[in-house]
Amino acid sequence: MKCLSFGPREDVVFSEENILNLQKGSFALPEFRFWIKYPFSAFQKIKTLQKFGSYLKSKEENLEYLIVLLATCLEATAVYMNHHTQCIKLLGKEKGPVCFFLKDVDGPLITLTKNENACWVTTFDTPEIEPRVKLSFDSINTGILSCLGQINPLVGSALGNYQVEGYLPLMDKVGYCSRLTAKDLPIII
Amino acid sequence: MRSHNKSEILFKRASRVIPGGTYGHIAPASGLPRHFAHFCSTGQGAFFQDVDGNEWIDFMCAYGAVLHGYQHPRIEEAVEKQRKLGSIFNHPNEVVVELAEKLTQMVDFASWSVFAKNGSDLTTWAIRVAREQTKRSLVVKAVGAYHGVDAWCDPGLGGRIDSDRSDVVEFEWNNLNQLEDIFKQSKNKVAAVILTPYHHAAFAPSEMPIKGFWSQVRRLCTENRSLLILDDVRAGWRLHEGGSHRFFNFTPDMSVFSKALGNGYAISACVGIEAVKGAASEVFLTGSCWNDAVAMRAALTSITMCEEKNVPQSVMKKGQFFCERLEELAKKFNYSLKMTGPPSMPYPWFEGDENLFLIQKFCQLASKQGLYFHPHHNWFISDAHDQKSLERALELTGRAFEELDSSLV
Repeated sequence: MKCLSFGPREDVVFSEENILNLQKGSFALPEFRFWIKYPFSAFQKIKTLQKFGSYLKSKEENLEYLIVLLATCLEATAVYMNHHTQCIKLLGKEKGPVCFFLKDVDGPLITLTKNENACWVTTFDTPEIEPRVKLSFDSINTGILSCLGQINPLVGSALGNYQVEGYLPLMDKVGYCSRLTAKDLPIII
Repeated sequence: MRSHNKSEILFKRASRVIPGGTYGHIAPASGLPRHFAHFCSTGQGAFFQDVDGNEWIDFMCAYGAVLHGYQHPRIEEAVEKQRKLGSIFNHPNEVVVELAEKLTQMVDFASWSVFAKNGSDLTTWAIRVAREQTKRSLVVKAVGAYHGVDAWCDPGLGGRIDSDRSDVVEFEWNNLNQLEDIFKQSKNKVAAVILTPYHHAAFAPSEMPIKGFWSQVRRLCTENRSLLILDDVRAGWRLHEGGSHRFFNFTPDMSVFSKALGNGYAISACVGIEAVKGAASEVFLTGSCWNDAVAMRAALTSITMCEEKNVPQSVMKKGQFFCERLEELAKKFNYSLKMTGPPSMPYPWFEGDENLFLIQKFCQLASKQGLYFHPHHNWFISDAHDQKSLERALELTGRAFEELDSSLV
């Protein structure tokens, strides 16, 4: 059975089927054997997950929504970049940082980088070192559509939906990993 | 202000019916999508026009495929004559023999030639010939080297399976110890080593071979009875009129040419030593339009011109003039720009610009001046670049540096 764990202590663990039920708004129990270890923390995490789910489903078109959606997509991508054999192979020794911007907004919205434990993570902090590559969306709507996989990356950059600067091969790899992730995971918003 | 309106409209149309709009190395995403045009309309000499009518001084030469300049009159005349006679028939045209004879005469080690359309057609075929000859499977290549679009070496990410590259081993360019270790660890398993004459990877400065590199590679191949394949697709006819091995003074067992060979007409050639002629005849090779008499006539004319006028030396001199002036110009503006690789096909590299932001900005500003400088690929000099066009390009480059300076303040 495929399971998904939240938190480093495995505070709350869902089966794949149940996490999808939870996002669809149905009742879903986490795996009991993990849940009883940290019941309070597990409950908090479930509530947070539900909040994320309902917020993402609200389909607002504002900066906050884009940031939450982008963070969700990049977190999922980071999991693949850390654990999916093909992604690990593709990324090789790459470390980032990969910064995501919105045109005319100062500073990165979010950054994908490899931490000291050699794990790809997302962060809202501005990286201390120069980004390896930057992607800048031309509008909030473009950013949202990109997250939802509704913009062809080759066409999008040619038409100016977004601009990529820096070491492009790394963005190609991250983009490929994100599309691989999106193929595996259902987009339910 | 240079307009890109028509180019953009055409790209939108293209994206509806062509995956990605345009693809491969000419896909906008790999260059400067908002600054270069997506489509060209015409070219003459060292210049081309995009679909919006903007004129460009070209330093990519159709990614190396144009050596004598766009629409060179002598080549076009020969092509036109052949076109009137026809191009593709049930049997090859006489020109295939003429071209094979010419190549075996010009390339010192070659005793045979075969032809196809694209560099990849024949780099992959040459590897199969090596496997047939040696009855071994492993192929050794340099990390980051491009040898074509086939699954064993393409730089893309999609459509791969593990077995595509299970018989390909890599070593770092110029690291002879690594190469020697591969031979030791894979004794009697290496069919071929395939390398470019110097290391011209994209997104990185070009690396020339260190002293003794080629003689050691040759020695290792000979001692281990592996074949040495030279991928001269990109550099061929820009370093030496007899093949780039002559420039670096070594002898491969097979060489693959394309790009400049046909001056823009699609053709590739593989030449080889007598000892592998038998194996070459065992490995199936064909394509419906590969015996294209028009492209072969273009190639024959192009290499005859190379020989008569020593075009490789000419483009090298022109490149040297341009690269030296460009570096001086950069220095004047306090930028440390190195034109790496051979001057006839230089790769620009700003010191300390590992993440490429500066070169991208510089090429973007140069594009506003009508200069086609690629930020991630080596440039190409053609024989149509004359003193006037190079000096004009340098003048415009000065303006780009001025703007770069003010944009970074």
